[in-house]
Amino acid sequence: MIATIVSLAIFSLPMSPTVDPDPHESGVVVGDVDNGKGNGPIPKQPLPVAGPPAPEEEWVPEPFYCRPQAPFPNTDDCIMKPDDEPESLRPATPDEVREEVKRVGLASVRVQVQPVGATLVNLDTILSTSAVPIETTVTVLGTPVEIKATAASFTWHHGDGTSQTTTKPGRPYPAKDVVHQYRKPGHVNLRVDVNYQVDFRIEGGSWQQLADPITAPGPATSLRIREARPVLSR
Amino acid sequence: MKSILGVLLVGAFLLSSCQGEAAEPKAAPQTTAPANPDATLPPMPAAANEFTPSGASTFVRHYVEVMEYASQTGDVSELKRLSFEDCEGCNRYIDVFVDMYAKGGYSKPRDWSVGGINLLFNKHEGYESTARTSLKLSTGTIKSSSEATEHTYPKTSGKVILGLVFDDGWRMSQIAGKE
Repeated sequence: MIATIVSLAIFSLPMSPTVDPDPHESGVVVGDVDNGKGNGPIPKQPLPVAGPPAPEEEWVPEPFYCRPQAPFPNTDDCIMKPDDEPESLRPATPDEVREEVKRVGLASVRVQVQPVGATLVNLDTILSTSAVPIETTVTVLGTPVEIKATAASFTWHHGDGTSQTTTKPGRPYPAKDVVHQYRKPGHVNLRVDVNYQVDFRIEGGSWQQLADPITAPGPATSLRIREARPVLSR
Repeated sequence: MKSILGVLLVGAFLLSSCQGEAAEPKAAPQTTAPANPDATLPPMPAAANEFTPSGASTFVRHYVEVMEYASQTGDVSELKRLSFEDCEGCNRYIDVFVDMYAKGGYSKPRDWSVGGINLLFNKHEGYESTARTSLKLSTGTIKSSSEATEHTYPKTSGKVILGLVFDDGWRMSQIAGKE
């Protein structure tokens, strides 16, 4: 059966040295033969070792997609695919890229508050944060997908039931790019959610943009709000 | 089995003791510091021995970890054990690693990993299943022989097709690159 396999697989393999020709170069044979169809299965029956008799029925491959199981890194989790189309032959859809990016997660950021730790009612409380562009690669349908995520906007949750959205991350005092005035004393937990605009490309193709941003909720920052009291003095 | 092992261990100890008394001084074998002294053979996950899709996929991931170990040490014994003798793609890797270290070369840490795996699982034991995935390597340096120049390689990724067969445990039957 193996003799029917006709086309040699070509693969640039920069990891293994000193094969002649050098596999670090592109267009070099490094492995067994492909079946010419660009997809499996590669027939290899019977085995060179003693195996069971060939099954009478034609074997129907059962297609799965597998990846490491989150809590058990030493065990892959496989899900049955709806059909036997080799998924790596079709490009990932934006929705699939979106789901994978959400699964992997984008960086969240913390709110910087001034005054630090406590502020006053009716005082301009200055909010700021910092978010750097993210460049990473995720794998979708077995294919690497390059990701560029940039912060398009920031949604500030003040912790008093109000929020505001800005396109800038704010700056520390004396700048007052992003401010909020609390009306009542008490304790609040603030956070800022970064809304990332995500661009992606598959295997060096053209860049595409996800239609909607992906939001990365930030961690809470505790803040005490005090009421200023006038004190008479001579 | 334990008793045989015990005899062997005792025998080895006695042999070394006798050699210690009678041996003449010998020149110490010339050795060089291993390129990756911290490299250890990755343990086979229990799941990689199961005849299930998850077992097949876990085996593929483990096999690539063993390839990484072999690339960093030149110790290909486990890679051979996990490969069929006629697995041409496997043997190419094995030959590369053996040849490189025999000539005094090395590959300094490059992490080998695979992404998600598209698996065509053959439910008949002893027959080949196929895994398609992307093989990813981090940046690293390679010196193909003691005389060769050390080269630094960037991180790379490429598609591979792997054939694997369960016969009282999984073994790799084919490794092929994909255009």
